[in-house]
Amino acid sequence: MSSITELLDRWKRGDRSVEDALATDIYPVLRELARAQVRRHGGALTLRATELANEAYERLHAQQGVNWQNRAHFHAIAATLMRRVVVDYLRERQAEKRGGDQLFIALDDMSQREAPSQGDHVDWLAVDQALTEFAQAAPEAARVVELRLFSGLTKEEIAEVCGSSRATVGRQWRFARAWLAERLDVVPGDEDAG
Amino acid sequence: MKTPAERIRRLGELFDAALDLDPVAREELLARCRTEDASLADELVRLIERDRSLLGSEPRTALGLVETSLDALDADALRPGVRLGSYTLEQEIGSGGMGRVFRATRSGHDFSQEVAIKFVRRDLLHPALLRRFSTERAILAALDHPGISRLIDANTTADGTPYVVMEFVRGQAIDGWADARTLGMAERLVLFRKVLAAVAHAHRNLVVHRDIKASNVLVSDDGEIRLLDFGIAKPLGRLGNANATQTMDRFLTPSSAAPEQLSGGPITVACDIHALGMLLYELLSGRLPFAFANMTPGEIETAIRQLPPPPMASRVGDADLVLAQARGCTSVRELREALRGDLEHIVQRCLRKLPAERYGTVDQLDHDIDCVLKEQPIRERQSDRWYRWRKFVSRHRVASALSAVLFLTIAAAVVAIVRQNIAITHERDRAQRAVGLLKNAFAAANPTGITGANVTARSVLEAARPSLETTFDTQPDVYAELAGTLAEVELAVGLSPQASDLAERAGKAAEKAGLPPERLGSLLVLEARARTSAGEYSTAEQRLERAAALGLQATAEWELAMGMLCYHRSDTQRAIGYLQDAVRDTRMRPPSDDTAVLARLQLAGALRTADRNQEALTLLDQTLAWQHAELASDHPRLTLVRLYRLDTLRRARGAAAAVPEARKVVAEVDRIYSPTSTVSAQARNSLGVALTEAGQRSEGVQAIRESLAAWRSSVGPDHPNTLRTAFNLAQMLTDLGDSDDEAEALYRDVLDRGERIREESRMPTAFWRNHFARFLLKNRRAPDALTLLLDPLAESQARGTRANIHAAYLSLLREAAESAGCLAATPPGDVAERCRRAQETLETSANTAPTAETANNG
Repeated sequence: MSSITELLDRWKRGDRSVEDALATDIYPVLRELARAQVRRHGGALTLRATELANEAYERLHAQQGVNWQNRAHFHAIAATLMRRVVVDYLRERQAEKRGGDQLFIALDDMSQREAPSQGDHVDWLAVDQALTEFAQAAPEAARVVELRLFSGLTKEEIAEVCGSSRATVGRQWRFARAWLAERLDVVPGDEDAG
Repeated sequence: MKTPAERIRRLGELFDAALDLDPVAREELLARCRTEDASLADELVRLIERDRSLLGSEPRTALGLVETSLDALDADALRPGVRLGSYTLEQEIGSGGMGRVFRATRSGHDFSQEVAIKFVRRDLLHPALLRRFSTERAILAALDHPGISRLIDANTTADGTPYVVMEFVRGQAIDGWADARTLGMAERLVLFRKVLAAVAHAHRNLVVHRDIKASNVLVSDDGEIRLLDFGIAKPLGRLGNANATQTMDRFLTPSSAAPEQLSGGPITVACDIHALGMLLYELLSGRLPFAFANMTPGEIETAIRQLPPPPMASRVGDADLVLAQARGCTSVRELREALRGDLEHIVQRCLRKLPAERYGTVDQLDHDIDCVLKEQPIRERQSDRWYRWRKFVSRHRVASALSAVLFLTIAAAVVAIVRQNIAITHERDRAQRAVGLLKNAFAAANPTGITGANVTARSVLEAARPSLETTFDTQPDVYAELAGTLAEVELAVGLSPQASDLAERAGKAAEKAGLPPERLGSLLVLEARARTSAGEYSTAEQRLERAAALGLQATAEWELAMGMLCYHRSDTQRAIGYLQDAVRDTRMRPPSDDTAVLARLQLAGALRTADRNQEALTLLDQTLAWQHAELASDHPRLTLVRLYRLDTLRRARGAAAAVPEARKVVAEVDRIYSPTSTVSAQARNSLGVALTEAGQRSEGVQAIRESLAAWRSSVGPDHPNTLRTAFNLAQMLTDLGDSDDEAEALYRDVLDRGERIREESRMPTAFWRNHFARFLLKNRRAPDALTLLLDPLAESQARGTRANIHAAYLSLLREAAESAGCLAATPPGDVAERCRRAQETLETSANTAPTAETANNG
């Protein structure tokens, strides 16, 4: 039975009530793939959203016959879930590392695997929190941010799944980005990942 | 009063309105807004400022270093129809790591010429090098050979994007061309020799290509080859400065780079020889030496720099019939046969890690290929067999617990026995005993499986592999047994992907040989463990399901593998369940049993993760008691369990309780292993942590000092563990405040080495540098701190990490400048220059130069 395809169709037609049901099917797959990816990279947090969503899609496609024509919509759903995967993962990691001196945490990890290097990633928990706050005022713009950060969709595809124009999405993105940067006090240039 | 949400909405409206206005009108808007709500107006100003500073930056998608868009160029600025001087862009024909490529036409009064224009990503380019480029252009343009596409022009666009104009070549990449025509091996070699002739011509003119790969070698319909991009890589590369590791040839296709191109070594003809080896490897076997497509850049780099390429024949799978047929072979086996022998030798010689060990010139390589075509013996075959062994002996770092000679003897015996295609039972037993011996030897050499310490072990394993492969078809039962054992070894020393492959092949052989289902099942369980360790969880799960169907579900081995899979998937609760079953089912086994011990250690780990430290401790205590009953009190297994127990003990009972036990373990480890083994390094580290936590800081320092010495001698001075320990030691010394010289030397060493291995190991050098600067400031050495922070790489590295590290960097820089007297009307002469640069850096960081509006502004 291709329940995911059905759910995706309903979601595409605007039925947001199916989101939880979709999440139940897709979240574990994404989570597992994300963990595998993190482990492959020796514990360093290098998730590739596009790759993960594609892998997840392929797997679901193979297992449950999810239809490829829904790719953009699948990625859109996956973005929300990716955000949850990332946040859950980071929370767990923080929980594992409570207590003790930061210095020694890296050392404790050594016998298991190479310790994650310190200080080379964005504080995604703070991003997540700020985004949640922002979403209460500007849900559409927040959705754009979520899609840009956690899905592999292009700007055109984002506009399409949001039922909006590229220009509007661009505007929403600029405002949200400026607001989040201000909120998180991102040092200018820090986002320049080139 | 507005709620926060209302405020954001209002800001959004104003922001949107402001974007459409010219500066004057925008000021008016702000003024109106200010009368209404001054703080809102201020916030709006800051947002607009933010927006401006962020224009042109790409967001990080998901986490960490994520793919930035291929190109810093505005996607719309380059498109068909756009004119650049006398060129008109026609069609985008490619894009890649280096930039985008267009077919274009050049029109003059009475002619029109087709050209290819390559636009280079600006971030890959150093301005000084671009200038040098123009002087070398003449030399490149003079390269006149039918096999080399001509460089016509090089320039920059109005917005500063460099581009090169090359002759446009119609053709197909050499690998695809050869496959499409099902060229046999000899025909492929003939074609390859044409490539060699072109490269040799360039070398005679002192030009090195530096980026030879299949997609840069085109073949026209009439079978003539043409090399693209000759020499243009060079000016885009590294500064001639040994310290500039940051700027090494990063734009290169990493998978076709030679080891020295990745480590910043000199770029010579030998780089091209290496690349030609890669090309020949791919052309003949249809595969690159490593499965680059599935690897991260860091893994690719490690592979190229450290791993010997596997034999070509081993990269051809059983299902590769199409590949074989495209090479004029009727079976996979025939193809494998063709890939062995002299061709393998030639390719391997091109791919040696040390430039001096490769062919010295293209002509020598060409000569050997000519010999193969004429079926004459090639020159240097005889020395090759012992190459790996020599290499092994010269690098036998693992031998702290074992003599390299013994190691060699065992390994050589295994290879020899397997090579004889043994069929007689007692001979086979001997082989298995030998492999068992080998396994123990590996385990003894690296009991805790520290990653990175096994380069040498790995070369031995890989040397054994080709001879093993010869038994796959002829004696699948022997293969299944030996491969299964070797896979266990590989898993034990941390080579999980290799172990996965080997175990899978062992399983196939077992099926083919019709071995009993239990044997197949146990190979599946082994494979599942290797897959788990390699992060391929769903494959692992499938294997376990198959093994369960074969009736292995109730065995302790299966439960252990399943428990470990759940543990890796962070399903701690289920993991604990399965591991408890495994522990229960191994109760009757002797304490020397691997499964029994591993089940207990894993369960203790899972319990600790679940914050059930007390239970974990109880379990480890019971394990020790159980081992005590049957093993001698100084048995290595016992000591290892005690070592694993130390951290649990500290968490469950506190540091004070852990200290005395940690001391005993250290003494024990020194006796059984050696004071300079990885085990000793870890034991001393645990001791140091416990002592420090218990307030005995100077003794803690001493233990960490010894741990550092042990890491240095066991895994070398550049290993990440060595560096982390050295940094921790420096920090501890700084806190104590009485060994400043030692601390300083450590900081410098760590930064220096960390910098060198940064690309492959992602060491947090920016974080370290901040701490070192703080140390210098604390010791009133502001000018030195300034020098450190103004290191050419410092600012960009700090900016490349997360915001708080960059902020700390800037605040340290500010503090250093102030303390050095930069605020005085005339700063002291010897720091004036540094003051100026600090000022400059702070200003640039405070207002990042506005970038042209690019792809990102919607």
